[in-house]
Amino acid sequence: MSNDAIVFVVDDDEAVRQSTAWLIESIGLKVITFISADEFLENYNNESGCVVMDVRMPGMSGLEAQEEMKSRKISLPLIFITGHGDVPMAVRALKRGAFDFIEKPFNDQILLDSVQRGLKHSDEVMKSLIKHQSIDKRIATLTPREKEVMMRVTQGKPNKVIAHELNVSIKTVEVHRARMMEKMEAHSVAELVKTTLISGQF
Amino acid sequence: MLLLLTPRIKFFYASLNFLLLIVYCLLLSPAYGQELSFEEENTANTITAPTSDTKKIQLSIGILSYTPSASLKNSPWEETFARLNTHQKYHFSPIFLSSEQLIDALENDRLDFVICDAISYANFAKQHGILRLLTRSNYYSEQIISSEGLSVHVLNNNSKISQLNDLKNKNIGILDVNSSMSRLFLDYFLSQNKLFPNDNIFLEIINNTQDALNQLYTGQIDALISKSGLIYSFKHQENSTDRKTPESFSPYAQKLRILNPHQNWQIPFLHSSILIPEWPIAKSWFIDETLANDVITSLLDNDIESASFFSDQYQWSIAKNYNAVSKLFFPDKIQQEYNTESSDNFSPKIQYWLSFIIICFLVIMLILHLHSSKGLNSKLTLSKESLEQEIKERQFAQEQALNHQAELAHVARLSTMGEMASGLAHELNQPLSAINTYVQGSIRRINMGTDKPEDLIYALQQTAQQAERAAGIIRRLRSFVRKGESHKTYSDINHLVNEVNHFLEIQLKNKSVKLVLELENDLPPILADIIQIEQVLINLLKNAIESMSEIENPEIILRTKRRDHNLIELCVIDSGHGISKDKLKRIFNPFFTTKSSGMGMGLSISSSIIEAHNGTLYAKNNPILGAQFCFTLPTQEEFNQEEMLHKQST
Repeated sequence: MSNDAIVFVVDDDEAVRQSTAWLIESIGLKVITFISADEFLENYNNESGCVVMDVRMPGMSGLEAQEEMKSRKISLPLIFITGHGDVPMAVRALKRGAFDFIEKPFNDQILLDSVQRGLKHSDEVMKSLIKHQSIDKRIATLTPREKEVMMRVTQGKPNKVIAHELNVSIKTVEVHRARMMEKMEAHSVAELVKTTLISGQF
Repeated sequence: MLLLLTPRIKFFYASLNFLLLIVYCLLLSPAYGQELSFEEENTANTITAPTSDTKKIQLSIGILSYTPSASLKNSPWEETFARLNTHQKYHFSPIFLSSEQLIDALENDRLDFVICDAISYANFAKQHGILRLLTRSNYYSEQIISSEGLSVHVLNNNSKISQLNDLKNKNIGILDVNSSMSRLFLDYFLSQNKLFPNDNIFLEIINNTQDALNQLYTGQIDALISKSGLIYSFKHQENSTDRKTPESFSPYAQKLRILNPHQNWQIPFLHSSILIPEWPIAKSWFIDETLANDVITSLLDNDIESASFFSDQYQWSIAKNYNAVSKLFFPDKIQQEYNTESSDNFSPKIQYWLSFIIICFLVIMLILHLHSSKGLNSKLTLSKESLEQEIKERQFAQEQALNHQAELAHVARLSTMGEMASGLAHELNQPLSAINTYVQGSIRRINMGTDKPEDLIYALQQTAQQAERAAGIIRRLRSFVRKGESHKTYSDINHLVNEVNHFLEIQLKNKSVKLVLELENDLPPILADIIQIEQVLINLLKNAIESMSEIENPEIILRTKRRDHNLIELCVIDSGHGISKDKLKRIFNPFFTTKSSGMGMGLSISSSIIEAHNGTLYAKNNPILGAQFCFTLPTQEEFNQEEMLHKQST
């Protein structure tokens, strides 16, 4: 777990907010509290961590916040806590990608476990994201010819066939290939395939 | 057909009826004083006095006699008839008759006048319509004696007989001179003293005073019963000019003793029996007043000065009242003096037929009338039925309306409470959740060893705060419930009970529930929201009715009474199954119900209404059968007290 993970606690009720924050702090995590979903979204700076949010709040409700976060591509795990647990609401929230749904008053262990899982998840997501970004960067450095070559290599075509398709000499293909592999930081075709899969572009 | 009788025709018939009735009454009135004459009948006992003027009207006077061969000559009646026959228009003849003959003659209206003893007179007075005019009397030293009694004489030296009881099984002589001994009176006297002739005493009638006295002295008879005073008059006959005390007249008087002696101002002799009036002379119903007056005047024309003491001729004085005799001897007969005014002028036969025809006519009219009113009656019944139906429907509608109203109020409160409930749940949940989190967090920190005292104190403080917050929410809830919207007025609880009863009438009838009201009178008024209290009562009654759905003869008692001098208590007592102990604790809780359908809010709402009125609602089981729900409400005086206290404190 990265040390700069933050747990965001969003609840309009001060007592709940403070007590929850206090609880989470007791396992040594960093907590930032917000009085409303609006406030949270305004101040969020792509930190890693997770969100503990109430469903029923004045202004933007928890479910609305969930939608907003999706559209802003904020991928923090969202843990809902609520005093009105009803099944339809819970199902809706979870289907839309909530990480967990806990009823108030809650057992402290349950909440904390959920938070920690969330953080771990977030961590992994973060890592994946970073990876994704770097891959995209790499791809961007490729020339068009190199891209074409990469595409065919990942399709499993031998150089001879690639040369024929691109109407160049085998030697040219080999040169492009070598440069591409370097740029993509792939040491084997298998690795290259994995990388392109992650990027999802090819 | 008769229904076509127009009001005009009906009026005509009605007035015709009325006129006929008036005519009939007029016929009966004695507007004209016509006289009637009857032929006198000659019996073997009759002596027709020689009439000098054959143009005189003959009248007969029946005289009760116990001797068949009685006649006017040498009888004490001579003077009476002499006086009567001084009349110019009439001639009176005496007819001596036995009791049965007398009754027969009266029944057949064969006598114009009758003379008999008081008891016989009382007997036939009403039946035969005879009316006493004068009473036989005797004159003694200006005292008029018009009562008679019986005396039982025994010899002074007779030690065996000292009271009437001792007469049993003895020989008794009865002195009867010229029918002086009234047989009915004698019978009465004897039976009163439990002496029954031929059963426990032996009687012998003696018609001669001397004879009787001899028999007494010689012991042939043990006692002698005679009309009081008669014995002394006997002696007096020998010494007619002597006027001394009765007893002094007869030497025998000193030798004789009277049993069961009584003294009375009415007669100057000792007597053994009660006194009754002397014989009356009475007129028959068809004799008119003028003639009666003539008779009276002739007979009252006494020359008192010359009237000798105990004259052997009967004298007359004003009529005594025979009602007492009637009452004593004939208590079953209605005592009324015969009314002379209903004599009429037409012969009975004509009168009879006339009455008959008129009555028939009236009856026919009546039948016609009834027939026509039958139609009216059936119309009336129909309209009454339809009215009743309408009333029933209206009552039902009203009941429904009230039910709906109650339900509406119920639901309104419920939905408010429902909304409140969900809001409440959320509101309470927050502090509760916070408390939980703080406490658990504290435990965690302590367990992990990361606790710092400041941290824990902070957590505990927060916990306390949140608990206080929750309490505040509850308080707010309570005040909301209490306030609600109530409109209080002064009202009489009994009136309220009757209103509710009225509305639930139909439901009670449908379920065959018998409702008994035991409402104490003159209860002081209560300050309450009538609709709310009615709600409570309806709720309790409905619960009672539903609890007895499977009971035979379900019965509800509604009782109001004063309690503890400033409280009024109303109880709804049912005859159902009662309530089990564990349920009894929880019935007033909201959402608690034993019914398959029901929200279980009725009693809790009722309870809160009553509490809002400063009363209490409680339930308990009856000693024998069923349960009772009672609520108390403070009376107006209590409220005034509270208001005063409140004013003092503010």
